[in-house]
Order: sequence, then C-alpha cells, then structure tokens
Amino acid sequence: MRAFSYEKVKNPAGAAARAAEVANAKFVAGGTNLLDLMKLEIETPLHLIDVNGLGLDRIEGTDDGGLRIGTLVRNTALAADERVKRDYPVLTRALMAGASGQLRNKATTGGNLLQRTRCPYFYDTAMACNKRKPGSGCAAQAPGAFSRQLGVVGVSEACIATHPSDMAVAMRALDAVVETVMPEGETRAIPLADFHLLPGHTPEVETALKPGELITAVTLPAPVGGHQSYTKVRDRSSYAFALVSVALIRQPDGSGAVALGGVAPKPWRNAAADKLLPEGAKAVMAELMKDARPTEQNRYKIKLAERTLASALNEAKG
Amino acid sequence: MMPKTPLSFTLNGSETALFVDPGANLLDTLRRGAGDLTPKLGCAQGTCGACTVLIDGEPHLSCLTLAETVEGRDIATTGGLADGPDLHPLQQAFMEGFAAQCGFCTAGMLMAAKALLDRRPNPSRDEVIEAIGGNLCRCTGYEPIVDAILTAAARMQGRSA
Amino acid sequence: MPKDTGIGASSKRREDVRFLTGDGNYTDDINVHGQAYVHFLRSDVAHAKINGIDTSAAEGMPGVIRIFTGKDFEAVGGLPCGWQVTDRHGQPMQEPKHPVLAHGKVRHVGDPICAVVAETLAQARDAAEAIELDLEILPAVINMKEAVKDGAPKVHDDLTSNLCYDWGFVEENRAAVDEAISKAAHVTTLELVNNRLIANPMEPRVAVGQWEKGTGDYTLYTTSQNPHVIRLLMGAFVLGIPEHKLRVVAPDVGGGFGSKIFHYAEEAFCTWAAKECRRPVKWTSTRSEAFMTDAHGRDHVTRIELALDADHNFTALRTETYANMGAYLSTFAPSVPTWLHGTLMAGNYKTPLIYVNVKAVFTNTVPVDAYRGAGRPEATFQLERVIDKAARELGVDPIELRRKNFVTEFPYATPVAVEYDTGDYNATMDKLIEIADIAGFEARAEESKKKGLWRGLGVNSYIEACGIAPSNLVGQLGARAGLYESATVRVNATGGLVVMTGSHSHGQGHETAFPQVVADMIGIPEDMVEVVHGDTANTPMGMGTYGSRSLAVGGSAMVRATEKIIAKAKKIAAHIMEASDSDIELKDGKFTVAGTDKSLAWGDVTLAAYVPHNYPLKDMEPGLEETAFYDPNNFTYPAGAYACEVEVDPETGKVTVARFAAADDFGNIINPMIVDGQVHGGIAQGIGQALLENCAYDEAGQLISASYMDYAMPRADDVPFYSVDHSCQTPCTHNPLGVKGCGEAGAIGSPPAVVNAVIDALQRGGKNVTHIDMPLSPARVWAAMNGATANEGAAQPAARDSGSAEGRSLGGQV
Repeated sequence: MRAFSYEKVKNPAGAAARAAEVANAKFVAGGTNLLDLMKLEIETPLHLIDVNGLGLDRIEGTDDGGLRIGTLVRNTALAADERVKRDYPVLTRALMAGASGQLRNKATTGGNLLQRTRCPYFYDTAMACNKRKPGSGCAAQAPGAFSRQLGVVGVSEACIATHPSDMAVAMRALDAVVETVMPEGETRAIPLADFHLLPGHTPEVETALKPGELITAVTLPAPVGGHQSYTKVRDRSSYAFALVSVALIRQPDGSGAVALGGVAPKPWRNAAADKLLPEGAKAVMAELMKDARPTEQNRYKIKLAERTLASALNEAKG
Repeated sequence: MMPKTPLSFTLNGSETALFVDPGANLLDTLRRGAGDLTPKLGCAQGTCGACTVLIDGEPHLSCLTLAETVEGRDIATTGGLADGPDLHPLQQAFMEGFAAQCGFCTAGMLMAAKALLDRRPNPSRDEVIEAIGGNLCRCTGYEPIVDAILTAAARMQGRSA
Repeated sequence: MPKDTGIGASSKRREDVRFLTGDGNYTDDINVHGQAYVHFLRSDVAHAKINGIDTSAAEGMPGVIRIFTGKDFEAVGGLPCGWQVTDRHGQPMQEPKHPVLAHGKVRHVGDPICAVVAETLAQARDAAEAIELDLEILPAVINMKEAVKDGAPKVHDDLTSNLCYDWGFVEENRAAVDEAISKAAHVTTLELVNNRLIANPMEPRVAVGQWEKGTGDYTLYTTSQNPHVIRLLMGAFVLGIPEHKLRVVAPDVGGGFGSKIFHYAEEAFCTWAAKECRRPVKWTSTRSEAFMTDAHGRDHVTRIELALDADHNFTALRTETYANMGAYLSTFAPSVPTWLHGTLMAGNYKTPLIYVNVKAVFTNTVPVDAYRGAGRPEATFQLERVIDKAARELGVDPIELRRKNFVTEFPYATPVAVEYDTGDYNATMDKLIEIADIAGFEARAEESKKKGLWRGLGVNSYIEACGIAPSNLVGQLGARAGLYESATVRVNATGGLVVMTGSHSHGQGHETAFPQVVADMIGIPEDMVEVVHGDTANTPMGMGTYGSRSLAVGGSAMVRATEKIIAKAKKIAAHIMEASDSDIELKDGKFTVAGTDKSLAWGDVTLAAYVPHNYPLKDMEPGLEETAFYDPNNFTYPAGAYACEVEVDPETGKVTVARFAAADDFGNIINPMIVDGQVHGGIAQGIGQALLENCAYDEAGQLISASYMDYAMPRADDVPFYSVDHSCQTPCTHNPLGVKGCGEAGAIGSPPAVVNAVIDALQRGGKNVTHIDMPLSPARVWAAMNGATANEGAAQPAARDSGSAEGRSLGGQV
C-alpha cells in the first residue's frame, strides 16, 4: 500500500472543502472497499479524509413521510432499522443479501453507493482496464476473457463492468435521492437514477459527483407499500456478488417497479419497463434488455434475469 | 518518510498507546505494534474473517480497519476472552465440541460468536450461521462450530443445551 | 460403553487450550531479532522470455538490503521432484529444471522473478515496483489438449514436448482389456473433468530463514507438513547444506490439506538469503500469492469406459486421463495421477481387467500436486459416476449393481497391483442405508415436490489406499524417498514420557491421540505423555503427515518404540523384584510378578533406570529411551459408502445439500471425536468441489480465481448436517494398531455422492441429463436441465474456464 496522510474532519462542508483543496484526496468512512483497493494499489490516494466524525449517522423521518438516511449509517444498522424493515422491506432484504456481517458493520450508506466494480480485470493491475487506467483497453472484452459475471446492458466498448451494490438496486426501485454537499458549501439533491453514470467512452467517471462533493444522506420518498422482494442469484449463498438480482415492488393492481442488479454499470430500471409489469416478466425484460450487448459468455444473464423476475412475480402473486 | 501518528485505544481493557505509520491497518497494529498475536492474517481482503476483532462491541475486520480510526475506542480480541485460567464459555464449548482443528480461524470465529451472543443471547441456529457467514474454516465443516456457539449461548443463559 | 481414557476414548484435545486462547505459535507469529523482509516480484503473465532485468533504480531505494534475480541462483540447485514415473515405453518422464527464481523464462502467473530484501515489507514492495523488467510475451498453453498438439508452444524449450509422460497401467493388460470391452454385453462411457482446486488452508504459507554467523547453522521456520522432508530436499538438492547444519521447524501449522507437503522456492530463498544478507529473512504469503503459488490440486480430464456382461458383472474398465502438471513438477506431482490414482481404479469391485492410461501435461499454469485425497478422489469420482450411469442405462438399482460387484473375499489382489488386506463393503453399505434413512427418501421427495423442488439421492462406495507406504514398493514405483515413519519415546526419571515423532500435526490432533495410545499401553494417565513434533532438532528423521498416514505409520512406530520401552522396563522390574523377565506383567501402570503379590509402580522402575543403584548394569545400559522406525508392509484400505440428498430448484438450478451420510470403515479407532471431525471436514471440502470451488484460467493464462471473491469456498450456510458412522470396523491386518487412516475419506467419498444426487434429481424432474461437470453451480445445472447451448448460459459459464471438458478434454478419441 502506498503511504498517505490522514486527517479527521468535523463538519461536512469542511470535509468537501478539504477534499477539493488537497491533491489526490479521498474520503474514508467504512473503508471496506477503499482499503482493499489501496492494498492492491488500484486506488492510490495521497490523502485520506476520515469522515466518520461528521455525525451523519442518523436515520430520521422527512416532512413528506419518507426517510432520510445519513451517509454514515452502517449497513447493519440500516437493515435492522424498524422503519426500514416495515416500510421499505426491499431495502432490508437487499442489505442482508450482500456481504458478511463484519463487512456490513463497517460499510456505510454513502460508501456502498460508491463501491467500485468487482470486475476481475479491474482488480488485476497487470491487465488492461479503461476504468483503472483510461485508454489502456478493456481486457474483459478480449478474446477468451472471462466475462461471465460482467454486464450485458448499459455497457460500452470501453467497459462492461457491473456495479456490485445490492443496496443501490433496492434504493433505485424505491426512487431514492442522494443528498450532497459541495466544497463551496452549497447542497444539492441527485436522484439515484442520475447518480451513477454509464461508462460510454469514460468508464473512469462513475458518478455525477463533482471533485470534493460529499454524500451526506440518501432520502427515500414516503413508503409505497406493495409486495417487496429482493431476489439474488449467485454462485453460492453467502458472500458472493450477484450474477443477477431483482428488486421488485408489486402493488395489488399489478403495477410496480423493478430494478436489476448484476447486469449493468448501475442499478438498471426504466419507466417503460415498469409499465409492462402487469404483462409479466418476458415483456418487462424485453424492454429492460432492449439495447443489451452481451458477450458470448454472459448472454445467459438475459434469460436468467427474466426467470428470476418470473420467480419473484410468482412469489408476489402467491 | 511521513511522520508516525500517535494512537491510543483500549485493548482488552488495558490502555494502549503507540505510534503508527500513516495507512497502517489495525491488524498489523495489533500484531506488530501492540504484540497481540491472537488476530490472524488470513486474506487481508476482508473475505475470511480470521482477523475479526470487536470495536466497541461490534465485530470488525481488523485487516480493513485503518488504525487511525480506532483512536479512543475499545478493542477486544481473543487474547482477552479468558478470565485468567478460566476459559470463556465460548472457548469451553469450542473445546468440548471439537470446534477447532488447526486453530487458525478460531480467534476470528470466537469474536464473531461473542459479538452475536452479546447482542442476541438466545440466537437461533440460522442466526449463528449468519453471524459466522463471514468467517471461513477449512477444517471442521462448520457444524461443530455452530453447535458450540449454541451450547455456549445456552450455558450463559443458564439453560442446558 | 464409551471409554473415557485411552484407546477408543473421545479425549478432549489438549492443543485446543492454546488455539482457543489465541496462544498458538504459528510461523507468522515468529519474529526473529533483526529480521528483514522479502517481497517477490512475480510474473504477471503466463509465459514470457526474460530479456532483461534492471534493478539499478530499485537498489537505491530506501531500506533495500539486496535484490536477487535468477542469476544469483546459478550456483544453487533447482527445486527437486521426489518421484520419477516411467512411461509406457519404459522411458523416464521428462523432468524440467525448476529454478528458485525464474531464469530465462517465466512459465506461469506468479513465477518469481526477483526477490527484494529490505528493512520493511513496505520498502521491499516499493523497491520491487522500481525494477524494470523486459519481458517478451510468448504464447501460453493452458488447455491440455492444445498443449500436446504438434507445434504447440513449449513450456520448457529443452524438453521434446509438453508431454511429461504417457503412462500405461497395467500395460500388459491393454490388449485383453480392449478385447473384453469390444465383446461386452454393455459398455457405459463417460467423459468428465475433475476440476482444478486450491487447497486453501486458512493459514497462508510463511518462511523465516536464519543463519548463525558463530556456528554456521541455518534454521528455517516454515509452514510445512513434513519438516524433515524439507530439510532433506532443500539441504541436499537445492542449497547444498549438510543436514546437521540445517534445522527446520514447522511449529503450529494452520491446516495443510496437502499443499504444505511440498518444498517451495520461498523456503529455499529465505534460508539461503539469510546467509547472503547476514540477516534473518521473513516471507509471509499474501492470499493472492497463495492462490498463484501454492500447488493446485486435481485437474484431470478423463474418459472412462465400463464393460458389463449380460448379468451385470463388471468385466473390464478402461480409462484415459489427461493430468495437468502445471509449469513445473512439484515435489510429488508425478505420483498423483499414476500410483495414487491408477492403483485405485478397481475401487470396491472385482473387475478382472483394468487398463489406465495417463498423459501428464505441462501447461503455463501453477504446478499441480497432491490435495486432500490426491489421485484417489479422481479415481473414485470416475468410477462411481460411471457405475451410476451404467445402472441408469441398464435400469437397475445403483446400490444393487454395486453390491453385485463388491469384493467380498480378502485378501483380494486387484488387477492394478495392490492387495486389499481386509474390508466389508456390504457392511458399510448396510450401515449407510440405515443412517441415511434411505427407506424414507421417497416420502422426503414428495415433501420437496410440494415445495416445488426436485429431490435426488446419490449413493456411492469408495476405497482409498492410505498409510503411505512400503518403502521398497514405492521405491520400485519411482519414489525418491522412503516412506517409513519414526518415533523416539523418552521416559523421564519421574515416569513421564515424551514421544518425539516424525509425523506432524496441523489440525489432526496428534498431541491428544498419540498419548492415548501410549498411556493405554502402559496404563498411566494420558497427561503423563507429551508429544513433540515439527522440529528436526528434536525429533528423529521422519517423513511427515499426508496420505492419512500419521496413525497407521507414525502411530505404529510409536507403538514399536513403546514396546521396546516396556520390554526394557520389565527387565529392570524383574531385576528389582528378583523375578524372571517372563513373569513380569505390566498393567495399570504397575509391574507385578505372576503368581505373587509383589509389585512395583511404573515410576519406581523409571527412576531406577536413571538412578541405577539397584540395576542390572552388567546386562543393560541405564536410561529408558527407545527409537523405532516403522516401514509398513502394505497400504491400508479404508473404505465406505456415502449418501447425499439434494434439492434442486428447477427455476434457478440452485442445489441445496439437504442430507449427507457417511459410513466409513477405518479399522480400529483411537479417538472417535477426532475421526468425526476429520470426516466432517473432508466432506465439506468434497461438497465444495462438487458445488462451489473452481480454479479458472482465461485463455491467456491469467488466473481468474485469485481471491475469495472469485474462488468460492464453502461457508457455514453452504454445508448440511452430517451423519457419520464408523462402527463398521475391519481392522488393518498388518499394523499393530489395526488402524487404516481417516483424513482423506470425506474428500474422496463425497463428490460423486453429490453429483449422483443432482443427476438423480434432474432425472426425477424429467430431465434426461446424464452428467454435469463440477462445480454444479446454479448456472450450470440450470443450463443442463434446459438443454441450453453454450451461448445461452451454460455449461457455458464453464465454456471458457479451464474446468470444462469441452475446452480441454479429448473430445472422444486421441
């Protein structure tokens, strides 16, 4: 791991200001992903700003009946929160489907959204990766590469990595909004739908965050009820990233929302697909996957996603 | 060379103060700095659980914990589990139930189990399995570990297992 | 009634106190004053020519003590291979050089190129980054079938091809086997892959090398299953250090499963560099280094044909296997697909004609060697899968087909060179049917159906050869070492004993089980017996622990030494009690004279041995210490029957192991609790192989499964309850304890049970699937049952990884 300097900060705007002012600085909260990547020297910040002391670790009700989740709320605490369990069960289920207990204790809400991809070629510094080293190429799309876990839709010639978060998929189905503070102190709200960016030609730019901008909270709108489920298909039951996951909210009248994980560089949802929910999994998936560009090895994910949604819809009806 | 940072925390009830290099992780700090060799390095990537310690009572992976973030906090390791010669009920149950073979994952298992029992004194079997879901063991096949944790829970509650 | 002490008692493990308090002393816990750290700069490509290494910038970096390259090791030997296989034509195998640091070429991802020794590990790593490598990338060979084609890139330029050997066994039977198969009433054929695995003990490898300037003595602390073997190989063949100047210590070792048998480059490096640098040198493997440097296991691609007559008697068996050796020959690699595999192809059955062909192949991958079971899981998997397939083709009950062909009379000489001394395969099958409640299976299947799940039952038998091994026999087969074991029993004046054994415990519990035997023989409390192991300085030359041999071979040596102790003690007692030697009896720690009331306590006699005031000094030396070397007459043959029940989710292909039962015959049992634990752990690894674990390379030779995120180890929620029984006991006839060994059985017997069960579930669900290659991940199962093509999912995930039959197998005939 490369050496770096470290400081603790006391207020969010100050943190953002420091991050904008110090060269190559990163925020650290739980550090589960960042420290792992630093050990592998995939992330090489020169300065770490510890935001754990910012007090952004509360879950509170909002005026419109929703929930405001502080960025430092640990995944364990979020999953266990009574309001979340009662009103946003898809979120609890998604959190419990990800990682181990120890990791959930460390992982924070904001950090979870900022997780880097688990693409093996991103992790292997010997390999070409446009996300890690812009312009170096995408080894995952070379002939013979191992791409079965990687993305099928929303991907580009530059990158086919997926976003690994389970939490974000559930939040996407719940229409979450990310709140931030900028180095100048002003705040803004970014719908989660717009928070993660598609790779295009610049896979190294993963989010809409500006330099120094710090996530302070994620807000959820008032509860929408309905049957909520999170179905994850992976190679084994614990501690594995999703091959495909489906966050489903289904209302008694058949309408609802569906977001997919494991298939795209961001939680994958669109309004047209939601409208097709009453018509069943095939129609929804045709819409969600209409621009898919799978590799030979991961084409199966398109069918797997459809079956996973079918199974979730079945359960929702039963 | 960047200057070392002073760091103080409580380790198994004792005040501990030392200097750490910038970027030091808690596992190295405990093993090399504080001389507590009980947490083990199994993967250094947060995927095996052998380095699990309690920070303010919660299980954490010390290999992924930046040492500087534990300033002023309370760290518990397997080194502090027994009370003098008296084994903790978890250790006793692990021994009787043959829940350790090579012993390398054991310290992490014990700390994950302790955190569970501190939080939920009467866990279900599934809750035990969930609690050690982040801890790999290559020797036992897990069944004796799960049984031992349930036995310890029962004993600590004054029930027979 | 269960015993509470001695042989047969479930004595609690004494080593557990230190493991449970965190006070175990593992190699990484050892820090030597003044130690420096080494970081290895390793190849990140599978195959390349080293055109240049420029260390000049790195040498000036802070903290750097010295940087080594392959050139520095020109005067030093390479890593030796401990087994030479002779091919079908009587020629020795092709044996490449295996330098400590790569020389001329790198041959797999992880091959060490430079070693940077520095004051701190961080400094060593930083300096390694400043080394400039000029590597000329060469085409890599990953696929075994491609590797043996004419014109394939050669892993070793000085060898004639990538074929290490083409082995036929028993070559003289070849024509007879071919003929029997051509005339058979029915032939069942199966092509399958035994997936490449990584042993993954939880403790990564560590080496600390030390050199004493004052004495010229070297010490190596290392994570090894056999410190004497490391001392011999490294001292004699690599570094040229006389054994008496070299001490190898393997302290508490956090699991091995075979991967810590072998002599590795890092051990030799740290030992040698300690003298070169005049500093102790320490290396601790990272987990990702472990994935790319610990010897891998399995990786066989096999075509097997079983011939049956009209009455369903097995008449002949023919197999053709491609076995991956990786880029170099690891210590015992050549023996695994041959003598540890071919000799077991008779299984539990009286098949009269067997021919086994094995082609061992070099590829640009990590060397492959023994992993728990080593050759025997590969043999059992093929055989028990093809028998299950035959039963299905013939429409007969798979258990009955096995019973019909079981060997029932012992000793039984197989057509593949070994002689089973004893066994009762029907007894273990009967026991299995009882403990697995096979009678209740159909009812459980109905329950599963109500949940929308398909339940399947898989049953198989297994046999293994353990207690490795008669030295004269293995010498004829190519072993370059003896395979005896040793023990020194030292009795102290006050009556306590120390057993110094060449066996090594890395989780097996020798410190508990061995004293049970000795205490039982003398009739004293177990806590009067202490076991010392793992240090060449205070144990006799021994061969270590692998192949389920510790108790059968090491325990036998200990019994022989203890017998010598007792014989001498009786003479001392006879002298003191003025009686004849032959009248002395030893029971419950007391010597008595037959027919009299005279007695002497054990401690009185041991004291007399060291304070020989009243002692037959004319006839005997004082003292009470004896050593025995035990060389077995034969292998031991543990055997048993396993049953697995799975539930398959037809929607997703997810397999859940619902029940698992194992009925084993290990001969006599010393500590039933420890035996249960060995079987549990073995089964968990077998289930891991069957459902989860797979070491995958991409076509360029990049190791894809190089972390626990990519290599799926079984976790607590992946494994079932185990029902295990070892009450069927046919004691081994040729060792003094009558024991057979239990360390590998679980890993050998379980993979076919799991796969047989999944196939059964799919068949019951109306899917005509006859085989799926391991690991049976949801995607593979789902694809198989949906007949998906490689493009749509499938056998697909496998289609590109090195575990696929499609990618590597013979594709029919070669």
